[in-house]
Amino acid sequence: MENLKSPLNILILIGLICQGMTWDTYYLLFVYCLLWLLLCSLNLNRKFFGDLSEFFLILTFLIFFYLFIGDNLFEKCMGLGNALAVLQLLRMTYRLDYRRKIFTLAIALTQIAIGAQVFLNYMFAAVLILTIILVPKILFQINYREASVDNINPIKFKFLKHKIEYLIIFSSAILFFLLFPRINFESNTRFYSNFGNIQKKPVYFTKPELKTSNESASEEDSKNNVILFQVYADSLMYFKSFSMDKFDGDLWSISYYGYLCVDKYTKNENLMDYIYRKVNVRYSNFNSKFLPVDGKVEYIEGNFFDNPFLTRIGNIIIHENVPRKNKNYEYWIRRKKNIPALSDRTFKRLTKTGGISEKLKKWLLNLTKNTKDKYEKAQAVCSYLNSNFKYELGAPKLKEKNPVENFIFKEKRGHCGRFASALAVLLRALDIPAKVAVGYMAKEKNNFGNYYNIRIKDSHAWTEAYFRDRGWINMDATPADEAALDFQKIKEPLYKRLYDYIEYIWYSKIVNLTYGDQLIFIKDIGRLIKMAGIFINRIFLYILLILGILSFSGLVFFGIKKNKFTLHWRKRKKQNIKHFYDRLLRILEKYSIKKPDNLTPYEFLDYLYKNNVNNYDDINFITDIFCRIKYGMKRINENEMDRIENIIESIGKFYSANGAISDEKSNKKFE
Amino acid sequence: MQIKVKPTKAGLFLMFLLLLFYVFSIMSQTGLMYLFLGIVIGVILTDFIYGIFGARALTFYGLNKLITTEGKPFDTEIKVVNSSRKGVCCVTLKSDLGILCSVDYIKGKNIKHITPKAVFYAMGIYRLDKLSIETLNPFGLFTTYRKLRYQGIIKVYPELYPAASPPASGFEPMLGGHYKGYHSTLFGEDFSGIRPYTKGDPVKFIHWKASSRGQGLYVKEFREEFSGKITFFIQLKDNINERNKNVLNSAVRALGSLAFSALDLGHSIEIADFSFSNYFKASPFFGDTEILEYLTALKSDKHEPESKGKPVERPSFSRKASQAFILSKLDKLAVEEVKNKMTEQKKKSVYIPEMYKNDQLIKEVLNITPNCFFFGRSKLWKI
Repeated sequence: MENLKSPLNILILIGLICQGMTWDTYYLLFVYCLLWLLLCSLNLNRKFFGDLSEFFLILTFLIFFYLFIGDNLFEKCMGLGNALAVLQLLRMTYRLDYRRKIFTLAIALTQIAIGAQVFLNYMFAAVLILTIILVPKILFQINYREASVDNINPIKFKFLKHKIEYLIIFSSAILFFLLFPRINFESNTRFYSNFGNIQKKPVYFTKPELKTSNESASEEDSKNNVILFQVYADSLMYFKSFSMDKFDGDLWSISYYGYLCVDKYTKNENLMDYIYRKVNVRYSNFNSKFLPVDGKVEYIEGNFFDNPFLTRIGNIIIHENVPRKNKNYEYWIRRKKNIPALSDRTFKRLTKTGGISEKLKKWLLNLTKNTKDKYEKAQAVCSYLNSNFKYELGAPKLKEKNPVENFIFKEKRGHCGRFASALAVLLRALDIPAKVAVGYMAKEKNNFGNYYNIRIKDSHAWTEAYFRDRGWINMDATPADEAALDFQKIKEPLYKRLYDYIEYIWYSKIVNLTYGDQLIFIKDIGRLIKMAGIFINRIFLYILLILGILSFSGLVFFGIKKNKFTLHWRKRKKQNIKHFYDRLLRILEKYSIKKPDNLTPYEFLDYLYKNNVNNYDDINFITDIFCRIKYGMKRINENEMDRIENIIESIGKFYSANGAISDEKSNKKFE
Repeated sequence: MQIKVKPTKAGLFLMFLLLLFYVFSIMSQTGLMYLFLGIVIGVILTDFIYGIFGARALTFYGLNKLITTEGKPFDTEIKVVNSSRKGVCCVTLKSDLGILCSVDYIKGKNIKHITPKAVFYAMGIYRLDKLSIETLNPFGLFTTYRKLRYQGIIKVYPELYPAASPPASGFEPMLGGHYKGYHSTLFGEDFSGIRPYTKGDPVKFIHWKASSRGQGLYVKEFREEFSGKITFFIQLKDNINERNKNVLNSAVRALGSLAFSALDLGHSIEIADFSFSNYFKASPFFGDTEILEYLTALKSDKHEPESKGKPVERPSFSRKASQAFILSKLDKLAVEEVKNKMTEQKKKSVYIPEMYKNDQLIKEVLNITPNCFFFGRSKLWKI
């Protein structure tokens, strides 16, 4: 039983569990736990292998696991942990010395660290708490046992007795976690990818296309509630994956320019000035090479890609979407909109309609005849489509020849892609450069955590139009629909939002706390301090005044209650009395009766009595009053004070006339 | 209060592990690794802080004078007071002489008495300088050193062994003396008989049992008791034997053993070195500690210049006392010194270090007196 309770053995078990969890099945975990239990209950103290044999055995295991387990470096590292698990189990068969105990602790910690890569859910919180409790206990025990001569009653490092130590450890863990700078190597994805397969040049992968005549959206997708992304943002609407700029009359696709790199992001600017966005990819099968973003991205980084680049038409492409758990990326966008100028060549390219009929042109002219500029024209077309057409999933197919004309004049219904395509074509017909954007419409905001949930059903397509004075603008011709385009934010039940928030916090702020989060955290703290400073500065005088009033009233209240204010008066009285007593002593001293330092007032009184001093009763009265006030903390009344004053005076006069000693003994030498 | 903190091997290992984890966490899938790293840093930080607190909280008492005997555990204890509320573990008290003692754990606001574990194999008075404490409190990742301002001494008394006392002379009557005379007295322990009461005998010596027979009063008589006097001369010269042992130490040990055996027999003793600078006189009822302290304080001549050039006065030795010479280095000079110091008509004995077994000067010494002995580290035997 002692073995089962031993903190080191428990930590070894946690390490073994963490290691066992790295496998897809639970068999290994089960075997590890069973062996641990067996070895603990057997309580063996026999070394089966010598040091050298043990070393070679573990080396063999390490080589085996490295060579045959896992495809990438990450998986191979996980595999190496299993060799260490064998070593841990071997070491449970004999008594360990100090060095081996420390090493065993280190291995267990390494295995738990490996577990941190696997346990991404709340289970790891339990592992962390256990680690916080166990590690100090183990270190203390190892250290104490090394130093102590006898282990009859070993002292234990109990949690309740060492709360401050645990608080320091816990706070340090939190502080380190929040403030220690996250550094990501540029090639961090190599660790998870198959050795060197990352291609540096963009490849033409499956091109996204949108066929206007076809109905691509399915009803199944429109009801799919699976969360794809969680986006940290104050406000978010259009979350664009990519734009399509090439239109051949029916099919929208991405042109050559859509893959041409114009910017490789480098982290060299002050990111604090930009708007920060963080995206948690919750959908594990997300393998797109287009990264969904909103706005003009200044810098972007993530944990599943390297070297992202911006294409000429504003898409962000990654070289490889590394398959791994817990994907996330963050980006920074400008606060002010940038208005780029389009070259004539681009202008021409983005206004190609793929050939539209005269009828459509006339209709378009008629629709926009009362407008002043291109923006108003675009607005007119957009609002016309919005108000006169109907959103419908599974609408009939359009004619492949002039599908836009067919849609405008005949069908007048369809899904978002059809509206986006039609608007883009109509805008292009009006000499307004336009593209079709595909992405997501953010509708569901969780107010607890200031983030948006983007689900599969939020997939959307819209139009991007270019105006010389306004730049690129999102225009959405799709009519509002309860099922698809409910712009009012969806309100879920409170408990669901709360649960969702907890999950978000765990995955976004704990599992995936990034450099951007840290910047925000520091910024928030700075802002709070600044605000607090301003606030205190403004109301400083008031605070001072209130504090003054409060402290004064408190003093008065408690002072009156406990007679504190009489203290000064009493002190004064005491001083007076002392003064009287001193005066009395001075008078006596004048007549050669000096009070020895070692005598108390009453002893001195006895001394005077023995020597038959005149006015003994008066001296007795003064001494009595003096002691009563000095040691008994009693009060003195006015009458007593007057009486003392009179007595002192009379003693002085009497002594000056008759001397201090009575006549009978005046001849005796005063002792 | 000077405090220094150094990481131990375990601490360095944990820091290395921390670095490894950090590198790993950079490439990690999750930020959980940072939390995990924080725990390890917290443990290191706690150890650092509490190590300093622990070292500051300890106060040592009883270091001013520690007493022990050669090769034996200490007779005195050190009191350690922990003034903090937290317990302190793994404390070692060190001096320039080495580790004095170690404490495994002292509870908060508690006192512990410890007997120093160090064993000294050479007698003498050692200064306790550069005292410091080392703690590995609480996790053993840092060693915290704190210099102590105390200064003290360790007195290592010579280890004594049973030895036959040298022959004494100048016997004088003394109550409790081990030598019995032929006369009887009224005082003593050895009852010899009774005699009729004579005028002037104290009443308390009346033997009431014998007097009750009705034949007059009788008083008790005892055998007269005598004790002798011995003067020890020790040659204080450093000498190292073939086993690298200090012969002077052995000589002092032999002197102590002989002196105590003489005192046990009720003799009075006088001890002096050849230069008379260390004179000591003890009666049979003298305290052991004072003799031991005297022996401990004996140092070789080369460290003690003759009172800065002034000649040392010869103490007034008892004329009737027998003489015992303990030599630490046998050479012609030593033999001459012995000859000079010897007076006739007295019992003499000479004690020579074991290492001179085969020395030719032995014969010369034997000519002076046949009462010659060899002494080793823990025994004496006659030549």
